[in-house]
Amino acid sequence: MQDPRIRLSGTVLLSVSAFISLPGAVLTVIWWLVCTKRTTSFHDIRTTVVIFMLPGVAALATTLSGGDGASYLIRIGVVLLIASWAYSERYPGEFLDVSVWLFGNRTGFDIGLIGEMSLASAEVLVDEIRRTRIALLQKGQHLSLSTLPPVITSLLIRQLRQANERACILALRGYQCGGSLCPQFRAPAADIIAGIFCVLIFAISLVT
Amino acid sequence: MQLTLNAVEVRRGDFTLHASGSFDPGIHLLTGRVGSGKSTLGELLTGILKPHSGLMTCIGISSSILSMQFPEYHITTTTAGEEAVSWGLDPVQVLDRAGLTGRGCDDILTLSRGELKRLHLSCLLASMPDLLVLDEPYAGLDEDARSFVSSLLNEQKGRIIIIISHDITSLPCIDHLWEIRRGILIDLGLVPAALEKWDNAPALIRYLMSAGGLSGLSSYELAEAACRIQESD
Repeated sequence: MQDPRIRLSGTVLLSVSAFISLPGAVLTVIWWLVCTKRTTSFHDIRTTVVIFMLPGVAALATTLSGGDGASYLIRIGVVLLIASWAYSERYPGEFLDVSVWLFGNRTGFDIGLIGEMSLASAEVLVDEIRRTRIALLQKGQHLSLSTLPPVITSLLIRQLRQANERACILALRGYQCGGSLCPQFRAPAADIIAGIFCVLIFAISLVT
Repeated sequence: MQLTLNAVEVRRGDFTLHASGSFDPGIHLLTGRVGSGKSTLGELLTGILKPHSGLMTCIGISSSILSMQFPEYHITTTTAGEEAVSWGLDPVQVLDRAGLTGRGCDDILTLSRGELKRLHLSCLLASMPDLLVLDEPYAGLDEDARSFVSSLLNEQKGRIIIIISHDITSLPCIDHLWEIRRGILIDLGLVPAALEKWDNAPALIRYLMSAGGLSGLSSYELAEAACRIQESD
């Protein structure tokens, strides 16, 4: 999907649809099968398993306490699936583009900038965690209760230093608030049709 | 001791690296443009990445370490002394070698980049790995720290040391030169003969080769070639 406006709106609508009703979750999966490049939605098996572990435990606890754990797991699973798809389809700067398009060059620019910097930090953090794993591996260690506090401290301090560097760069460039951006979007027919189906799925999930 | 790659392929997204060749004991320099796959090859050689196809054979190599670009990446403790212990080493000896005597209790994140690099390299070399891959070991270091790194590496005998670096002004004595061109690892051979085959040699190297008769890549050999040019002028 090329248009980030449709993708972000679709992500919100489909996530809500999947979470509030089981039919909504099923329709969302069908939408994902028909309207997306399915293979790009998953980063790797290990990450997928780790991501599904927490809702899996919550679903098990719900089932053991007499609730409908299976329904919960399916609905949360579909929400995670859509989130993973949206993340894999994103391009750098799209959050800023959409935010400026929505809220203008002052508030929109600030919100978009914060969003972009947060996403960039998350990506850096993923790299940092990978490097930490390599460092521990070289020392014949693994992430454990004893290694976790210094590792987290080190990661946190590096993130704070990076945030400080970014703040200095913004200050040097004279940033105070707002900015100037003219976002351009391409909305092919396939994106528009997929977006219409998102709205329909949301409507169906509200009445079921 | 030998590490051999036989038609090895490793993929990362759309990028595929093809590698064949043998690494013998000595100091190897691996060069290539930014994004050419040098770090990927480093991870492959140290067993962090597995090849998608082909065969990688290690003869007589029982331990290998990849030194990542910045020493901060390797920190898993809170003090300089603990960091040496985390490598299973005697902190006193390591700190002495790194020029940090008596600073074992210092918060590791308060050390300068140069001090951290010295500590990190001292830990690596005291660990005595058979294969050591150093990814940009001179990044962010001042002249003194660069000399310290090169002198430490020059002392190492009988190990396979592979340096991945763009910085060609502070290198130790390089025995073997490799280059990655368009995703393919090229064995340029032994230095100095390999210098002639170095397609993407930095301008300084090309100049010193043509005008000064460069005989190697160490900082001493670069200075020697520069002196020859000066004398001939």
